Amino acid sequence: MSLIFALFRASPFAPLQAHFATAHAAAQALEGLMQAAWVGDWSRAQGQVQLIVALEEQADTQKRTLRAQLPKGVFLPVSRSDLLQTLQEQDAIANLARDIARLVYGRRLQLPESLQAPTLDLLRRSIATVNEARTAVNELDELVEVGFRGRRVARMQGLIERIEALESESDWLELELRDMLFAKEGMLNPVDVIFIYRLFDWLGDLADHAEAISHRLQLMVAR
Amino acid sequence: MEAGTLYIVLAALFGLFMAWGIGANDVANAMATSVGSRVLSLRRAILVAALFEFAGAYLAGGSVTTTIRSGIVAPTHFATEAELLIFGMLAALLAAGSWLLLASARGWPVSTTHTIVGGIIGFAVVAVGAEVVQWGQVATIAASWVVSPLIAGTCAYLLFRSVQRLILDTDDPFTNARRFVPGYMFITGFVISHITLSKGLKHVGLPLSGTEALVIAGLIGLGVMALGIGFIRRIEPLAGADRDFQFTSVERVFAVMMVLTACSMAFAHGSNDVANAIGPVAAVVGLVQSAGSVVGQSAIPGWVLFGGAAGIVAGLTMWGYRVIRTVGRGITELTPSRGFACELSTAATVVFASGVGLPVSTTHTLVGAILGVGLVKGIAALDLGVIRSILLSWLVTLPAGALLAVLYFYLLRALLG
Repeated sequence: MSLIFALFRASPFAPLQAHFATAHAAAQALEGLMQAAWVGDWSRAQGQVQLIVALEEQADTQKRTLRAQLPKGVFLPVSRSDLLQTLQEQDAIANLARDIARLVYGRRLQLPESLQAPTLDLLRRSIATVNEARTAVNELDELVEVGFRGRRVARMQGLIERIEALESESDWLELELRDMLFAKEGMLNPVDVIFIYRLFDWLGDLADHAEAISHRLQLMVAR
Repeated sequence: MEAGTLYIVLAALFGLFMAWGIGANDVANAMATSVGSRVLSLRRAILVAALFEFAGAYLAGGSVTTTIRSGIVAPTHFATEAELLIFGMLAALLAAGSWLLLASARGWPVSTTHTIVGGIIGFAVVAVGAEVVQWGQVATIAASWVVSPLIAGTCAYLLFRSVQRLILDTDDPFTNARRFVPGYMFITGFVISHITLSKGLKHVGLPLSGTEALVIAGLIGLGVMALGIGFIRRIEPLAGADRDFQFTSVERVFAVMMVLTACSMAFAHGSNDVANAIGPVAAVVGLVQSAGSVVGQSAIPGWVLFGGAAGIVAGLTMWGYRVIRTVGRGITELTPSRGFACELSTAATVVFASGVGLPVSTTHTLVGAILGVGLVKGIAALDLGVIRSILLSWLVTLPAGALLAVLYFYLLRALLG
């Protein structure tokens, strides 16, 4: 075996980006699910759930493959644990999308009409945060090309700030939704109320995981 | 010496076998970086390797050959028994050749340089005694095995840092690549030819003065640069390429650069590693021709250098291309902007070692250079387990070469002595 051959390992960045693409797609499919749920089209909703579950499983496989590719002796331009944590957070987004899908579909969860549009807003804002995090993770290629220095690092810092701003917007939307739900609690089935709160919680969590990714990226580019 | 012709024929055969083995196996490490980064097709890599391995061996291979031949054990110690030295050199060649064969079959990463040095020390200690080994010279050689990867690593680190500063981390990487890459080309042409001219050429009977060497090297550097500019001018930025895709265009400029450093690598490898095969041959030929009177510091016969170079090219074309292809497939992560830094650093280090007559491992030096670029965070993923393999090849290959050489030595003495 040639030493030079043994020296090179496959880049972990492309598989990391591919995993995020899957997780992102799972989260994006939630919008179709909610729109179907709120017009009571449960057969379309079921299709969306199946899509999300399949994507989550695909993400799991990708996660396992990438982890196997990163044993301890591997020398990376970034910290191995930051990379693995990023993968973990990305995977959490896929898992959360699956849990949300099962919650909405499993309980045939219905929202008061006045809450539907703001809930969709919250979902879209959280997915926008995820989307921005994905842009940032896709930047890792360019960072490797320049060797994690200079302008590209500054650009990454800019993306990280955008992610944080989007996350705090989704935080505010979640807070407003909770207030709206609180005002209506008395008119609703108490068990539903509990799960609607949980839905809001989880939708907010999507953005939280995106933000956690940005923090890992921050550590990767910090000197 | 009545058996003289037999000894020369045996030495030539064993030396050719060894050179063939080096060409079949070792050259791959030098050329695969260029194939892996898609700069050279396999066919072109073979062509470049054949041409420049040959040139390196012939023009700059003399000093290391002299070291292997008469630097590790001084022939004067064998004044009364020249045949012992002849058997020893034959044994060392056989030991290195068969060890290389076994290691290739088993997939062990071994260094030919280490094996042959171990072999020569081994037979000398057993045949005559530890006092015939020039331990000071051996210590220098051993130190060079540690120092050469470190130097190449440092060079590669600094080179790649300069590429970052001047080209990659700028507003317009493509324009800056076109502007600065010719400068790196000049450096490559100048450095490699200057070391060769000032240190190596005396062995082919062309001693140059310091100024002459500087001027000629400068001219070669300029010539190489002019040629390179001609090729770089033709590269247009990829159509519709926005900033994000500029790096693809930048890499195409570096690809031109890397053709040049690939030639340098082959030249460097030829200048250093061919000696492993022909050093012992030269020793045997010298002893036989001076009829046992060991004064023999005569020049290395041209046909010996030529034969060694030809053996390497034969091994390369008959078997080495497969290894290059396999290795090249495994290292696609090395883009030309890094590959050139690794190759240039390695080539300069190895050619310098050749100039001062130190047998070093081209492969280990290249590993050092690649790790140097890795430290600038320029490579996506490297396996540090390789460092352990290198240490192991220092610890295992030397004794293995020595042991085998001793066995072959006794065998040859029993058969021929």
